[in-house]
Amino acid sequence: MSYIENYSFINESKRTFGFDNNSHSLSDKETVENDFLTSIYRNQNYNYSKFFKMDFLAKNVFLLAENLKNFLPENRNNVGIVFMNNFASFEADVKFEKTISDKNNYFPSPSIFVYTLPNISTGEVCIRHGLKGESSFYVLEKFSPEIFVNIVNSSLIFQDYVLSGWSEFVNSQIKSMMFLVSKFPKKENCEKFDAFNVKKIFETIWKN
Amino acid sequence: MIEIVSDNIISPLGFSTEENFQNVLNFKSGLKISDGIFSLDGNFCLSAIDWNLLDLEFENFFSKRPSQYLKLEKAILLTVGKAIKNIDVTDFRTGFFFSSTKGNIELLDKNQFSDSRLNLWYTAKMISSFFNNPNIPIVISNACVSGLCAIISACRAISSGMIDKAVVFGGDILTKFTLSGFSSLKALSNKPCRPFDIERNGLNLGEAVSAMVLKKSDSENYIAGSIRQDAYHISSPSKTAEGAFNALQEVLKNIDKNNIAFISAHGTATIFNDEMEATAISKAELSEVPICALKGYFGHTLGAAGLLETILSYYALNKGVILKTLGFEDLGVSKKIKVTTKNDTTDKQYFVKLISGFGGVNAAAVFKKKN
Repeated sequence: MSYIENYSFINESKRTFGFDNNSHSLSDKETVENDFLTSIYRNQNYNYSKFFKMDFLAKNVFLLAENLKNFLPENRNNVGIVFMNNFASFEADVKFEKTISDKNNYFPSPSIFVYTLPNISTGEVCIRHGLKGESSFYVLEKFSPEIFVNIVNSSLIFQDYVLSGWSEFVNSQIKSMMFLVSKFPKKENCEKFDAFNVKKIFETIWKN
Repeated sequence: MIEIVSDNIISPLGFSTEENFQNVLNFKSGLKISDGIFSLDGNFCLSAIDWNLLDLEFENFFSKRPSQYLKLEKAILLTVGKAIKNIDVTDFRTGFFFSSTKGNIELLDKNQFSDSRLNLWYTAKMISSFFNNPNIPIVISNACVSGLCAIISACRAISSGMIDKAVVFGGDILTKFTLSGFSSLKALSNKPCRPFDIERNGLNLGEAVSAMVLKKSDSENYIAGSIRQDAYHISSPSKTAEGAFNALQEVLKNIDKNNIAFISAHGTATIFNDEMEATAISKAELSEVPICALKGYFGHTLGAAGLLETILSYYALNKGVILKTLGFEDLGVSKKIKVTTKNDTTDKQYFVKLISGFGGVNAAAVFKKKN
């Protein structure tokens, strides 16, 4: 059995983000043009300068995890992260390609190249929060609550907590969420982490 | 329990596991020095597939020409086709698992930025529908660790009862994209790589694809697998080898160390990777177990590496062989480990696959000899 300790989300189309019972929305003034993720970072006054070196995906996964940091257990040796999306590291891929496509202007950048591996995003979160469990990155065509829950639960057999999330673009705007799933619930009334509840939360978030 | 039913390797050393094994046994390497590749300046030492030969093999096997497919697609169709020969994969109880780091990234070089074939899930779906599998294929993109993670993920899906059988396949091809990237990281050697050697100075990229079929069974070939984080750095391995050591500890819990034939290490021949692995192996008290690294034969095959090296090591274990680490002469890591210098024989039951990658991920798995 596994439980949802909490969840966080980023919904660009509604300009909302946050975690369960703590949703924020950004006004026009608070939104940096075409950069919703940086807008969140500024709004929350985060102080992690590495953020600005990250590619889009890593920023995305980083912010989802940042929302949940207060719910992480103290001992992180058995906390892992399993993240999925449907676009891998596309933004970084295009950016890197631009540095190598012109023979007369060939300047491949190692700091862009590393982000062309989607699992750098999960690695960044592990470094940030000292997570020493499993980190895995999956790519699926679309979100499937059944597959998501099954993969996360079979990873949870080998650890106590898993940050697990999904990210996708809808009409060029980012829609993503992350659950903190545990084997042994820390608080009362934790909902079960199953396909039914995941689907319910998923739908509620995108409605609001 | 989970059995390895069949497998295949497609690399410059051959189009079957047997052919690859025979070539490795005779110290043949796919590594060659080439200049002017992808119109990049300088020499590169690479292990490249002969695509004309592959096209012929494809035509022989499927009785049609592979003209509509991209390189990676046709290579994977061929390796999966060979691995699942005479095995029914068309039912809902069979899952498809694809490991790759960059898939069809070569399309970017052709300015096809909006081609849906750039998506890793698209490649996986193309493969699973070609073989009439009805399930949504799962893609694992966990850097260099992807191939072993795909095996672990598939075995978990079988253990959890979600499926009964899994087809695990993966690989990457040589592209200007990856070559430029690894070159910018200064990770490449322009000579054949020398895993664990005092003179090692970097890795060689290689192209290969592989496939493995696993199923729920009364015999047990896959014993355990673990994936663990360093939480240290996104592109350099932990100095304390924490993740790799934790992964080893986890999978060796119920294993008699005296019965381990060898460790199939990652052994990329970069200064830091090999040092880190030696530290993990020594910390796990495995200094007496022979260490074999296969990068001197195939180069670093990225998304295929964990899968290909597991398949070849499993084949060697079943033949009672411990393979030589090509390129290794004098130990160049700070821990005393036993890197193989020749082919040897063994009657032991297990081997350990160890692998690490960018993003701080490490994985280990234990496999057992066929009965």
